[in-house]
Parts: sequence; structure tokens; C-alpha cells
Amino acid sequence: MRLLYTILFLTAGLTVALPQAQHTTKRFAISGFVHDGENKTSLSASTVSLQPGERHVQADGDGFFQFVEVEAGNYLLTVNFLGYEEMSIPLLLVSDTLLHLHLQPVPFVLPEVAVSTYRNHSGGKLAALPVEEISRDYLIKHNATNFAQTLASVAGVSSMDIGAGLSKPIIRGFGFSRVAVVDRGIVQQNQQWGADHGLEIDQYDVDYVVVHKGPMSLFHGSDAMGGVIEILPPEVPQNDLFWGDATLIGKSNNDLLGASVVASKKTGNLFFRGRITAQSYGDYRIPSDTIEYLTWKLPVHDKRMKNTAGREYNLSFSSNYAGEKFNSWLHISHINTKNGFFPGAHGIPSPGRLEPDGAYRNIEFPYSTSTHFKLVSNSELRISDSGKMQFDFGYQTNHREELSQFHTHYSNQLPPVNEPDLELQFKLDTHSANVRYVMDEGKQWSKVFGLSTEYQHNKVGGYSFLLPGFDRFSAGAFWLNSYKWNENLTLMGGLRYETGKLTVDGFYDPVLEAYLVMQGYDDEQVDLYAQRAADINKTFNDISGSVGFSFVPDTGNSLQINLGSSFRYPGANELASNGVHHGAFRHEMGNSGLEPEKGYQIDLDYQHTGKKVKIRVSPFAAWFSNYIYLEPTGDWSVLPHTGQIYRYTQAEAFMAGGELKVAYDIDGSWRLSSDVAYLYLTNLSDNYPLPFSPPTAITTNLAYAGVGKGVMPQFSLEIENRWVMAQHRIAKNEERTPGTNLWNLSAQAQWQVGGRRVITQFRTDNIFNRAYLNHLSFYRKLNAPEPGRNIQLILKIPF
Amino acid sequence: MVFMGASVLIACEKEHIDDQKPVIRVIEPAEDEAVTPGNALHFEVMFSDNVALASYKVSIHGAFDGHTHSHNSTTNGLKDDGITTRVATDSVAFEKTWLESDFIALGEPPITGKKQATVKHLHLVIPETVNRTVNGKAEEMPLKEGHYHFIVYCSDESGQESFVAQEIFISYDPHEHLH
Repeated sequence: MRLLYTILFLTAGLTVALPQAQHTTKRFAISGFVHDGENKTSLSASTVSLQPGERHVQADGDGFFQFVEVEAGNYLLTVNFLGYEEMSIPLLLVSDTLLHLHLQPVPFVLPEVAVSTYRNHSGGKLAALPVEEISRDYLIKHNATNFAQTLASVAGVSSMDIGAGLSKPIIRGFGFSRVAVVDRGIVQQNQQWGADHGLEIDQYDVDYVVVHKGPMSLFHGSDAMGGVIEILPPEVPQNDLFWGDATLIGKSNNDLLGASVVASKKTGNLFFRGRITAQSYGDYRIPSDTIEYLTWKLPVHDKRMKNTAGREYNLSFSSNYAGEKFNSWLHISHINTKNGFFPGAHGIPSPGRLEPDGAYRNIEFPYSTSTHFKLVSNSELRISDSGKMQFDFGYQTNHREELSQFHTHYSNQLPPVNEPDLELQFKLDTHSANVRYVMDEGKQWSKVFGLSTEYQHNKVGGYSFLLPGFDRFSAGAFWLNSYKWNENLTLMGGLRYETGKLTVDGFYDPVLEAYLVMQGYDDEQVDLYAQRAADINKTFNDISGSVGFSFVPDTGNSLQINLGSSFRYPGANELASNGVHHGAFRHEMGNSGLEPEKGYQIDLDYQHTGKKVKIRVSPFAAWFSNYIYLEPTGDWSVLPHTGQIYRYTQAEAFMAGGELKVAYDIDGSWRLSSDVAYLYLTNLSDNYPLPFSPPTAITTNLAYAGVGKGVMPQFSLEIENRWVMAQHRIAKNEERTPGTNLWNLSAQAQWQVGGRRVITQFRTDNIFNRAYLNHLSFYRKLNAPEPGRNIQLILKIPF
Repeated sequence: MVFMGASVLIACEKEHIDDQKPVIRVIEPAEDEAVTPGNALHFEVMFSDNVALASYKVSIHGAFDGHTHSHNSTTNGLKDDGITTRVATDSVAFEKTWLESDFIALGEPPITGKKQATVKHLHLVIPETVNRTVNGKAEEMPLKEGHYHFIVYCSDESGQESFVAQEIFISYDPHEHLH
């Protein structure tokens, strides 16, 4: 890494204070201008902070900033602007001071996933787990069609995709309900158990994400077993300001057009921000005109996957009040998506269904819609010098529907009178409340006591049945500690007790009953199939905990080791549902005897930061006493479109793997980096691998970044190779997936246009238009290749 | 250290798991074979597995799922291309599943434990009419004419499963086989 010779860039005009006999209680102003050290243009919107006091402001359009009412004394002033070296200058303030600060541009304008000490907003670092901090710029640079796919560029994170539009995140092979997404303190609750569900988050409204790898149940309760994706609120400047930007997005592979506009205003103690995002895309292109599935050659007309088009409309609003003792955020968001399903993936494919429908942007049956409304309030009340209370309240409602022209296998089933094509409907309401008391933050022994509760109500509808309605209530109490043993060693640990209650509404399917009676099955058989969900009333309890330490012997090395346990309550689908999962073509049967899943994991995270070389190794190993998975029973289902009955079962499981990253600064402009993510997931009861094991992937990246003059002060170029190994470690009835080798190119430039910094981000994925399969893709089982070459351009214009 | 632990475990793993699926070869019926209700379909199939077969199942059901056909669909999306299942008023899709136990009852030897087995000369009867009960009223309905899926499933002793799907054409007039 380049060292910061910040003081060198302090140039003429610096008028630091002449010592005068002043009263120490006097207050002064510190003001100044921030300039580009090369071409002297002003750097508006640079962030200037002053320590102690934790004050920060943003420079205005002329690069001017000001702190008023600053007591005399010693300060550290720090200036940050994207693409420039951070500047820190010590100040002895004895009079009003005017500064001219000249920041030096640095080649590496875009921090890769930053590797630094993360402080969550509940105060301090409380777990010795590896984290990846991801900034807005990283998200722009790696922008994919949705948030989960964008995050999949981080080593150890993958996405499970349904075509181009819908994806859910996987952390180290943990997915579905084993990963929690925490948006501004509240766990996002949707239909994450389902294979054809995507995460409803507007990726443009995310400023800062922290990916926690490892068991996080201690902090967020059930579901946070494999990791947490934590979305944090934006930084608020302390000076009054109005600013915003418009982002325009275009992609060639699925003809995506998108726009996201944000406007922010800071006035006094108040901050407001609103964002609107719209995206529309057509059927995606694959580098093949046929899909070979079983004995068929399915035509892919014009090499476009029919009916995979989609749309997304999102609105979000945030506001903040920051007072002396009280700080409060309000976030409201509404996500609305509509996504077509490839008709070949619903039911046994037939070439007739894949005839072109004459348009690429239309969304015909079958398709899914989903809306997610979320209201989140985070508040913090400072009670004393050593203690503060934090409150998070959340209400969210997720409404997901799958529509498919009415069809049935049961000749006695007639289409419903209302909404005859509504196949499945899920309405999930979630209410959450968290209270924390943070004590002695930043001191030798800091503690957090917390209580969290969540209530969920799920309603279902549609002419098909997949998941029963249910009510779930859970409550947890936790106690977290961080103890600073000495300058280099910090110990961390905590305990959580959690209790939950799940009530499932049973469902006996009269249509299926009549059909089976007609087919001549006896009463016992009929009951086995027609009882689509059993009435269930279950209570769960769990105690989980973690201990760890963080050892930082010097600035170049750090080591963290964490031992933690995690748990997850079985879901209503795992406990109660019974029937054909139309996406998986399987008869899946719940098991009311399931116990909460329990895992124990050890994590190690070592980082070395040298002058030129950066190394990070983060291995882990985990043992689950009762991992829940679907086991083929060997009994045939008598229902059409199904083979054996798969039943949810629990078994011991072992997981291990991790990530290795190496980065080498060739010189100030060139950098080579590489990362490897490896996983080994095994069911110990029968030695088969666990389902959905992500294959080993090696990503290598050569980047050049330069500093220009005039209209293009910053630019960077990057060539990336992504080598994905074949996956031969498959669960029963999974398919092996061959490996692939992909090349991507990206180029970013900052343009100085009329006093504004316009950013263009150009990207080409899969340059050689290679046909490959993704082991985790929903369309994998059809042998449908992933999207081919994609060229995209993002334009970000500030105002 | 964790990595080392993991690699030791990997090295010790016994790779004795059966990850091969059974193989199914359908000899009869032929792809798109036409059959008239009231007649039987001739069925012959070969199964094989690297370790040991477990059992099989045969299913016939309508190939008319809820997808939109483009070429002659109407704008309201209510009408399909003639093989829709929207309102079954005049005919009913035939559907039947035969488990191996049904064939064993007819004298066929079980395939369980074998590495290779041929099941042949079985006659799967497509009935002349179908009885159904809607809203408590029993009615005898003719079969819906059109394409049907004919699917054979086979499993092995470790739970690996495979299937072969093809189409048959059911029509009261065997000469009216239009695609």
C-alpha cells in the first residue's frame, strides 16, 4: 500500500494560527477549501472530519467547509475524497483558522472490498469474525442485475439465481434461511426458504454493506447461521447541504435500462433522503440456440431465454434527527418486482412452449410478482457518559405471487372464480423490535445487553398449495462483551437465550382427496397425500454463544479467532408442507419431529498488510449436530410430475473451507490481486456432499489506475479472470457441473464536467461469450447455460 | 490450522458413495406413439445401475401445462391452442400412475437388488372414459384428446433416481394425429 505522506500536500495558504495569549475556553472557527493537488479544481462533497468531537462536514460546491464553535485545543482534521489520498493534519487551534488543503489523487480510486476494523452502529466490534466491508463504489463497479448477484463478486459469497432477475445470497454455501439480511438493524423477512424467490432490496439504495462470514445467531437470532449481510445507514454530513445524483444503467445482455435518482438534504438537525429506482429488462441471451435436456433438444429462439424479462420499481425514503442526546432514523422502502419464468422450467419442458412470442420485453405466464414494504426506525438515546439505549422497530410486509394460466392434474378441479390464474400467493407480515443498552463503549470493558422480538404472520392463497399459513413468535435476550486486555489483544464473547413458538395452520386438500379416491387409492393413502400441511404447535428454545479474540501485534498483522454456536428454527415448509414443489418437480414432505438446527463453528482470520503485499486467510470449520435437508425416501409418490417422496431429515454435517486473498502492488498504478474460495460440505450420516455446494472459484484481477489532467482526472482499467472449478461433489440426485473460465473487463473514469464529477463505469462480462453452467442456478437442472456476453454502462451524474 | 484439519478430513473421507444414477431405456412405446382410448399401450423398458436397482414407476398425464402459447392465443389469455385445460366441460385429461407393485401383482418379478432388468410386454390400458365427481356429482367423461407425457422413473438402492419422459398421443380417431 502507498504510504500516506499527507503533510506534503499541505501547500501555500495554510495559515495556522499564530500563538496568542488566549483563554482556553474560547471558541473558534476552522474553515477551508479542498482542492485537487494536480489541477487545482475544487473538490466539492469531500468529507472533512474533526477529532475529538466526531464532527464531520461535507465541502460545498466550491470545496469550502467550516466548523464553527470549536473550542481551542489539539485536533486532528481528516479530509476524504473518493480517488484521493486521505489527508490528516494535526492542529493546535488558538484562533480562527483558514486552510487550503490540496489532496493528491491516487490511482486506486476504488477501494476493493476494504479490509479494516469494522465498527457496527451498536458500538465497537463485538465478534472476532471475518467481515468484508463494501462501499457504494464497489457496488457500482460490480453492478449486476440485482443486489445478491452484485455481492456474489465477493470471495466466499455466491448467488442462487433464477435467470437474470431474481437471486438470493449464499455465504460459504449457507443459503435460504441460513443467511440473514439485516437492513438498518431489522432482519429482512420474505420467502427466503423458497428456491424461486429473490431478495427484495434496491441495490442502488445501499450505501454501505458489511458481509459477516460465520455464525451470527448471537446478534440476530435464528437464521443468521452462515452469515449476515448487514446494510448500514448513510453517513450524514454536519453542515447544511442539498445534494444528489442520477444514475443511469444500460446492459446489453438483457437490454436492461434503468435509472436511479437520489436527493438528500441536510438542514440543522435534520436529514432527508429520497430515492426512486426503475429497471426494466428483456429476455436474457445465452450463447446457445438449443438446450439439451434429457432426450430433448429444446430450441432457444434467437438465443434468448423466453419470458425471462422483468421489471423493478423501488421507492425509498430516509430521515434522520441528530440531537445532543438523541439520534433517530426512519427508513421507508417499497420494492416492487415482476419477473417472468422460463416456461421450460415449469413442468416437463416441451418445445411447443418455447415458440417465440414475438417480443422480448413482455412478461407472460408463468411469472412472479413481489412487493416488499418496510418501515424501520432506529433510535439512540444517550443516558449518561457511559451508557446509551438503542431501539430498532420494524414493520415489513412481503407479498409474493406466482401466476400461471390455470392448470391442474386433477380433473375434478375447476378454476377459481376470482383470479383464476393465481397459482400461489404468500403474504408475510413481520413486526420486529430490538432494544439494546450499550455500556462503557470504547472503554476497556464494553458491554451490550439486548432484547429482541419478532412476530410473523403468513397467509397463503392461490389454486395450488406449497406452504401453509403460520404464525411465528420469537424473543431473545443477549449479552455481549468486548474486553481490551492490552493494546494488542481484545477478547470478545457473549451469550444469547432465544425462545420461539410456531403455529402452522393445517390444510386438508379436498380436491386432491377426491382425485385420489377417484384413482382408487385407499383411505390411508389418500390421507397421506391430501393432508397438505399438518396442524403444528411447537415451542423452541436455544442458548447460543461465542468467544473469540482479536490480536493486533503491529499495524501490518492481525489475527482473529472465534468459536461460536448458531441455531435455526425449522421453517413451516420443513415441518409441515407436503406436496409437489412445482419448481423442483419433487414431492417434498415436511417432518413435524424436526428439532432446531444447531451448529458449532471455528473461524480464523489472519491479515498481513505489507508495503506491497497484502494477504488474508480466513478458514473455517463447522459441525452441525442436526442439519436439516431433504432425503429421498425410496417411496414413489403417486402424484404426477414426481419421483420419490423427499422428506426433511436431520443429520450430522461437517463444513469447512474459507477464502485466501493475495494482493500485490506492482507499482503505484498497477495492482495484481487474486482470491480463492473453497468449500467442503458433507453430510456425515451417509457421506454424501450437502446439496447446493458452491464450486471452488479463483478470481484474478489485474488493474491499472491513473491520474489524468483536464476533463478526466481519474481513470482505472481492470481485467478479471474468473475460474470456476467443476463441481463433482454433489448430493443425491444433483447434477455434476463442469467448470468454466471467464474473462471480464471493466473501466471507470471520473470526468470533470462543469464543476461536477461525472462517473462512468463500463463493464464487459463474459467477453468471449462462453456457454457455461452455474451449479447454483435454478435453470441448472434444465442444462440452460448462464447469460452470455454482457456490455454495460453506468453513468452517475451528481447534482 | 483449521485448513489443516479440513484437509486431513478430506483425505480420510471414504469416497465409497454411489453417485451414479440408474439408466432407463424405453423401447416401447415409441416417441409420440398414438393410442385410442379403450386400447392398451405396449410397454417395454430396460433398467440398469452400477450398484443395485430399487424400483420403478410409470406415469401418464396430460402435457397441457399453464403456459401461454403464442401462435394462436387470444388477447385475454383465456384460450390456449386447443389443448388447454382451462375449463374441462366436454372431456377430461386422463391421468394414471403405475407403481412397481402394480406390475408385480400382474406377475412381473421385482427389480430390486439387480444390476440390470428388463420389464416387457406390459399392457398399460388407456380407458374408454373417465369417471369424475365435481361438486358431489358423478359423471362419466370422454378423455381429452391430445399429447400426454409418458414418464418412467427408476431408483437405485442409494436413493439416486432418474426418469425418462416422452410423449404419447391419445385420440379417439387414430388418424387425426396432428401436431
